[in-house]
Amino acid sequence: MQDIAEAYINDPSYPASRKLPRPTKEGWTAILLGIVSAGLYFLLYRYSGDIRHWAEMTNHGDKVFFLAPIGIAFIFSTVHGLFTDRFWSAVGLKAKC
Amino acid sequence: MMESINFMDLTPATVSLLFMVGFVGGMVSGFIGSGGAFVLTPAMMSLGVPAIVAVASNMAHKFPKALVGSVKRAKYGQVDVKLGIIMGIFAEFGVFVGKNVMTHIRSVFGDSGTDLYVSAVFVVVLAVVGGFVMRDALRTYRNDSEDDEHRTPKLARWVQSINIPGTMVSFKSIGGKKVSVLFIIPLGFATGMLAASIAVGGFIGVPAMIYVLGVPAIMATATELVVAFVMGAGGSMLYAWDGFVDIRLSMIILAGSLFGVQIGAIGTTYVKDGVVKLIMATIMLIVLVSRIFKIPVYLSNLDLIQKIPAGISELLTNLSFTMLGLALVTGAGAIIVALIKGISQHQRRMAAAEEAALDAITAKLTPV
Repeated sequence: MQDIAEAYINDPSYPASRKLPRPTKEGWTAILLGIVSAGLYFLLYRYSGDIRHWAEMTNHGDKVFFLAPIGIAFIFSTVHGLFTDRFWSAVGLKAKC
Repeated sequence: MMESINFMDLTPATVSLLFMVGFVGGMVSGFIGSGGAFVLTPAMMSLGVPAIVAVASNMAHKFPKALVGSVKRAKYGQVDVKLGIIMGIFAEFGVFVGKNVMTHIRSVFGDSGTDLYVSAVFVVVLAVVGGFVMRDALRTYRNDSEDDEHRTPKLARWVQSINIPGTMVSFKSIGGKKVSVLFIIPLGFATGMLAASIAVGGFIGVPAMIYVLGVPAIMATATELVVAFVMGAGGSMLYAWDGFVDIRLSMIILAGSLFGVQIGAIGTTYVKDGVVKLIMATIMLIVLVSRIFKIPVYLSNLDLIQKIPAGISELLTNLSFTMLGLALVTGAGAIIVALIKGISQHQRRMAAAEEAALDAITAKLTPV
């Protein structure tokens, strides 16, 4: 019986909300990252024509912007990746430890 | 002279569709570790994106996502980093060859040629790998659905027993046993070659790790994310050099798929190996049927068969797209059900432990 009690007390996957009030810091970080991510997507939409033009230039032999897609991919995935990670944690979806 | 690249126009409808497709594809990707591009590439092609742009753009959206997924699953102790990096390096060679094959086909036959090539590769690979994984998943269920213990396949036992001096490397995913790098070279090369052809290397990488090297399925799918990152970064640069990456499409898909990949990765911690295999095989076989419907259309476009009437061509295209949607819905549904079931079982177990603990404390405090 004592083993079960210890397992319960030490299990880190037990919902924190049932033990202590949930801190809001994680939620605020998620909101902030969400705003930055949304801003990046706005810029992508705003400069969509230019990005398309860079690809056409690259395809026609002007390689000045050939690494632009890779840079964009890294920036977006870092910011949006951090946001989505914190988003699911903030809404309480966590892995079984 | 090679024909110019053809990037699609972005409308609110296509953006929403790409976001949704990305979300479901990401969920599947985080769960089975094979990139999710096997549904995303055909989906983009069905939306009118040429195959070479769909493959290139998927590679570009996939490699940062693979990095996010692999870091996440490394925290759960599911990643064999050494195996992932070694396989990834050999996969780069495969990517280089695969990309050159693709651009050669395009320069000779145009976009219709690469559309047919990509679809044909999909059909062959999905039939072989999907059939094999399905057989294995069903066998696992029939024999002992409750036994979650990993058994090393016969072929893997043989591979692990071969000792080639100077080439042996030990891997944590197979319990510290040693395997010759000479076995990993062809597996990595084939994984990279396939990745450059259809943007999905995991169809070879994951089963190869499971059945040839003897890595448990959960660890194989997690380690494949490292391979996908290494070869995806290289492959994206190769395709970007020719301007084939439509980063606008890639990032819209990424927006949805990064939400999905987290759910998929969390889902793996609540399910058994057999469930991952079964879901993986089901999705593969549905996508296979979807691609078969499109083959006659591409053959007709290239004048390799008698011209198909426009109505029939449209019907086949719609059927293909519907099957693809079915694969997405089935995959997402199965993962969500598995996740909900897993979470509720875990919560029930925790509630029972809580009750038992309270009983124990009450018993201690109650005076005799």
